[in-house]
Amino acid sequence: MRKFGLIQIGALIGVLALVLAFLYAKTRSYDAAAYFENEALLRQLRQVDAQWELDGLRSKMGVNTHYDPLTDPLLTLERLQREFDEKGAEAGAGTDGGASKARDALHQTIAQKTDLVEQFKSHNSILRNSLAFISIAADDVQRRVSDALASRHGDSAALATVALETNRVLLDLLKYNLSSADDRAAAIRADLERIDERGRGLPREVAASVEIFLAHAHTILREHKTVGDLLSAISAVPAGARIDDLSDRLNKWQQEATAQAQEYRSYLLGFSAVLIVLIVYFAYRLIGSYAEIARVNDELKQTNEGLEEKVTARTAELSKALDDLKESEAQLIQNEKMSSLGQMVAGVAHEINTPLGYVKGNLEIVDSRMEQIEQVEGLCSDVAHMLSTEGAKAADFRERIQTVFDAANAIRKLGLAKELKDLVKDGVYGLGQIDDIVANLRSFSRLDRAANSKFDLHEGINSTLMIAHNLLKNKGEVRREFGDIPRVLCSPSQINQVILNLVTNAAQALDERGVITITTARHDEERVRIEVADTGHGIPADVLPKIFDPFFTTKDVGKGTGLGLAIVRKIIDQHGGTIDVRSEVGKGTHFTIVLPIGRAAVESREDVEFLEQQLQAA
Amino acid sequence: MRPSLLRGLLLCAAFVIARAGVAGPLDEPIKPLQGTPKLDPARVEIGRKLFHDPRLSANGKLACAGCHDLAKGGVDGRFRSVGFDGQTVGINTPTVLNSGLNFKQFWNGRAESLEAQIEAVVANPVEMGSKWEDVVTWIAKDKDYKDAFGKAYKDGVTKRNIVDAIATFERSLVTPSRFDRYLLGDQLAISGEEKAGYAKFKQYGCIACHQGQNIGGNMFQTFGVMGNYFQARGNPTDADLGRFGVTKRDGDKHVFKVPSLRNIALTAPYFHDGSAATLEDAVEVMFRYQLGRTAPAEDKELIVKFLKTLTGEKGAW
Repeated sequence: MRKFGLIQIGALIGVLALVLAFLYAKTRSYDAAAYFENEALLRQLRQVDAQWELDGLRSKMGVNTHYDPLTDPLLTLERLQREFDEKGAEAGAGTDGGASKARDALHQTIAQKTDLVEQFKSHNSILRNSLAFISIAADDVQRRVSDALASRHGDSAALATVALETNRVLLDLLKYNLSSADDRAAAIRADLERIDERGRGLPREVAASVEIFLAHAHTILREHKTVGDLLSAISAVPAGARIDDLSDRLNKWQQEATAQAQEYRSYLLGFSAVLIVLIVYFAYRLIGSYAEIARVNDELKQTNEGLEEKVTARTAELSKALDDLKESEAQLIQNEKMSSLGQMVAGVAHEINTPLGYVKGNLEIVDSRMEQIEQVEGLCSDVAHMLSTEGAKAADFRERIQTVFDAANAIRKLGLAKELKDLVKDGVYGLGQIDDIVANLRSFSRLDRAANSKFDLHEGINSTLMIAHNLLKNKGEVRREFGDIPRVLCSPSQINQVILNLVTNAAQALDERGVITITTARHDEERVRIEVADTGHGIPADVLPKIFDPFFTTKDVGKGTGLGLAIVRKIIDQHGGTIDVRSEVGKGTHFTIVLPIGRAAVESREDVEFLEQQLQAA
Repeated sequence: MRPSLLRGLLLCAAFVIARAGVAGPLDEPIKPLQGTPKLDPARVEIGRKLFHDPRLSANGKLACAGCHDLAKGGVDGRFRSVGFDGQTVGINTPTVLNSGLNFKQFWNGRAESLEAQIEAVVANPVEMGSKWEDVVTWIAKDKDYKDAFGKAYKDGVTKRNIVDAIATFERSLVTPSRFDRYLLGDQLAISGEEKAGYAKFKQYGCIACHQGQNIGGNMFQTFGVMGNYFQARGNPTDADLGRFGVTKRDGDKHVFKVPSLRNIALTAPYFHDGSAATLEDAVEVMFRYQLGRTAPAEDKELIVKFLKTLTGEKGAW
């Protein structure tokens, strides 16, 4: 998973939260309560409207005796409409033009109806009054006519006709009022016209009452139609339809809003589901990564443990390898030592051989001379015997002593005693030589001393030269230039080995006439210097850097191990010293060793043990 | 007869007589007033102060009470009232008493409510000549009004609240009369003649328009149904056109709101033009031009007697 920064994650969460909030807000935007309130308002409107119409009819019929029932609804209707408008706007039902148009249509129809009702009230009251009065008016005419007839005022026939027609018209009017057929109205009007004409010629009171009757009759005709038309118009006003229309819109809107809310709810659910899936997914990944981490941890632990073991094993391997290596190294060193030792031993053996030879010769001569001494001894014992035994004749005795004197004289003449003394002296000297060699060997190996000690370098050099005497025999001379140096804390045996190696190399480099010079000097406050120089054939420049490398040798195969100088360097290193070489082909080679006076060699147990072993074996 | 028995009989008689006086409420086309409606007393009080406050007019000289004097039946008794700066208005001042019961205000019904009427009058250049912003400003500056408004209304001094206060006060001006007591069942509240007058009132058809709780005030009607009143009177003015001024329909010419007959005895002169100085004259005009009938003088007198029972008995106003 690509690594998301904290900001990106925050932004993502923010966006998701916003979407969630938006969807939730959309589901909440539909308010069911508002719908029900509006529905209730419309229902009330419908009721009031219906009741209003009913009251209109009742007023027409005279069941309602006053117009308060037709007037009070006005306020209610206005209030309901206003409330509906307000609530509709709140609920958002009026956001589209259609809804506000529908509301306006309703306002219009109600206004229209109100106007019609107002007119109805006005005309209905007139109608009712005239209707109530028309009989009385007719009665009035009758009375006036009978009065006139009684007082012989006017044309009685006309009077009678008028009275009759007035009554007939009255009946017609009343019938008309109950039915309202238009053709009837025309007929009645015609009749009224006739009565009017007739009435002109009648006496004043009669005419006046007829006039009044006619006025109300016309009023009835006129107002009846008007009121009828108004009532039809009122019932035709589609207030109910408008209310239904609004109700339908409201329902539709409500359904739409519900559907939309449902839709958004399902979006919300879907979105929530998606979120949950995402959460589960991330949780799964999280758990997975934790598991992964745990697993990796475990693996690490195991590996760690394994590693420990492996390391231990490896270490053991390495240790073993190291041991092997050291052993090989030791073997090689041993081989080298063996060879050098061999060389040395050969030399030593030769050295010992020489005095051993003449000592042996001397003793053999002594042995042979013993005969004469044994002879004398024999003769003496004869004499002694003769003396001791009785009867020995003086002549025999004298003979025998003469023999002894002769024998002794013979020894004396030979100078046997001196010869034997000389031989023994020689022999002792030869043994002394051997003694020296052995002492040197011992000194070289220093078996009887500790590894590190304050060592007289000159002693070591001398011992070493003695041991290497054989090698150096025909190789020119060895010069010693010893300086004033103190004893050096070192491993004497190792230093001797170093000297031996260098000297051996120098000897090998020399021809018949060469010089090996060994110089010692105080290098500085803390160090001494040993120099081994030869006038041999030198070391070429390209070979010079390699001479200290292990196994590097210019000798033929089998002739050298190549370890000599490597060991020399190692020993010097262990002593904390330095070794340098200068060489020129044809001129010679010059080794310079600088050793610290006070520093002991880093103990190399293997070397010591090895040497011990080898010398014991030898 | 034994004294105790006589006493008992007398008692019974008295009881019967007394009971006879208190019958159940009558079901008449005129509906009785039933006490004062429930109104916020604090607002009524503010309205009362404002109603009597001449500072509602532009020059601070004319209060509502100037033309609608509560002591004079809610009118000033003049043929035409005089506005804040001396101009006469164009139509006779109707009473403020019970005006809350009218279905519309003004003779031509151009105000749908008391509030609309108040708004119109205060701004009318002839009547009070004010600007509403100024009215609101000075009322807000007046400490007493500010406190009172603050207590009675959530949003303090606003035009709406000022109008509401005055209207609330006006709605409190209902005037139950003897006739209302009669309608509520008190047979002894009005005399026999007054009852007879009421019967005539109904019989002749006055009741056709002067009906309901306010004895009128709930419908429009042509002035001159059965005869041309204006032709007879002459000198037509714009005010005579009545509702035509609002609807611009020919059919609405000379149509007016039917006025309430409550306190009619106090509110002379009568009609929109103030042409009838007395009740008798008014009744006469009504008979001729509205009813188209003749009636004997006694009937007309009885009707006038009845009309006088419609005066409010002394009440809180």
